[in-house]
Amino acid sequence: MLLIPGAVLKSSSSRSIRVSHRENARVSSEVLSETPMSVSAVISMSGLAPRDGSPVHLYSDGRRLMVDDTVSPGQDVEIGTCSLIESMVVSHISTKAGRLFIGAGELPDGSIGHVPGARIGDSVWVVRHIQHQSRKDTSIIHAQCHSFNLEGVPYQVGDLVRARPTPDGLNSLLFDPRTEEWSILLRVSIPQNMDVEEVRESYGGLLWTIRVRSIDGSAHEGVLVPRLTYNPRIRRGRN
Amino acid sequence: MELRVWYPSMRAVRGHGIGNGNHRVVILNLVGVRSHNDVSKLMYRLLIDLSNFPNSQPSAYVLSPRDKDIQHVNIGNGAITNLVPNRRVCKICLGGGSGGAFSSWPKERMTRMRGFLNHLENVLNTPNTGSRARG
Repeated sequence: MLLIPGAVLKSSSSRSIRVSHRENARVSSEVLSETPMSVSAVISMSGLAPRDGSPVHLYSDGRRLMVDDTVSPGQDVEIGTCSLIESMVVSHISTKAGRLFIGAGELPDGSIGHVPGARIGDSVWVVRHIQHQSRKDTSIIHAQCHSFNLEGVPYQVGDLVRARPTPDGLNSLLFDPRTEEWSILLRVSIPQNMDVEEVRESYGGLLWTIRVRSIDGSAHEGVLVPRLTYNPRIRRGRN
Repeated sequence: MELRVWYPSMRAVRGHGIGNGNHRVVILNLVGVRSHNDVSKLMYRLLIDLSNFPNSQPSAYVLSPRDKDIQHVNIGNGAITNLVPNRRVCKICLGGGSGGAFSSWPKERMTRMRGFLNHLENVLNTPNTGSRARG
């Protein structure tokens, strides 16, 4: 160690937790504590928690802390509201297939989000799956999303969601907005009027639109909605 | 403190710019109670009209929940405004004295906006049955 006469070696106080803002480095605060604190207590006492109900997390060394983690005095943590969850107001219908439709609207970054089952005027919470540039105007980004409920149970029977099933087309993982992880097991079935092998071949690897048919604590069940699943392998002719 | 730290959901609405980099309309979420009889928390998605801000108090409208699902007595019934021509939005009753209080604050944008959002949060969390806008 290089010691400089007169210099004071400053370390973070062992009686406080320093909380800095992940998206705005100029903003920080100190939480005084002599004992380890829960993540939620640090968030609350930092004074940096969002007041608008936005999801918030703590990070330590770049790793997101889980709800049951604790933060020790002397530890530096970051608070962040960066979230996979985005909000959108549906402004138009981008796809209509019989009684089924996909609603579209502007996402916070200006991309156009497409959400199965969303109606014009709906204000929805969404997660994006894939995005691509518009062929007509490369400055426009289209994002394929699905919506969920942020209060209470995230999905209900009848909801239209999106997921990319395993190669056998039987299982996939659905986004859980409570943890922001793709962790809800979704068992997927094929409509009775379709051939399973053919579906696996023509829809394999694609992002499927799926209608939730049943909800269980450990696993949900859903059925593929082919008319709202974009499939470049199937050319739909226009007269 | 920047507003986006406390209100990360705040977004300016495109097409409502007023030419100087500021926007006439912003959208944000605030948590409030469902009603004076049901204090369960509810996320309100709001549209704020900043037409004469900071000179006069902004107006606030509820985009969601929808009119038929709102039970908060200080949120008015749905109406069409020129801000959102294609749907009915519900104006929030901010209270008779709120305009005067707003005018008494230092005429500085950040101070007035923080004060206004504080007040809005307070209205959404403490329904005043003595000043009903619905029910």
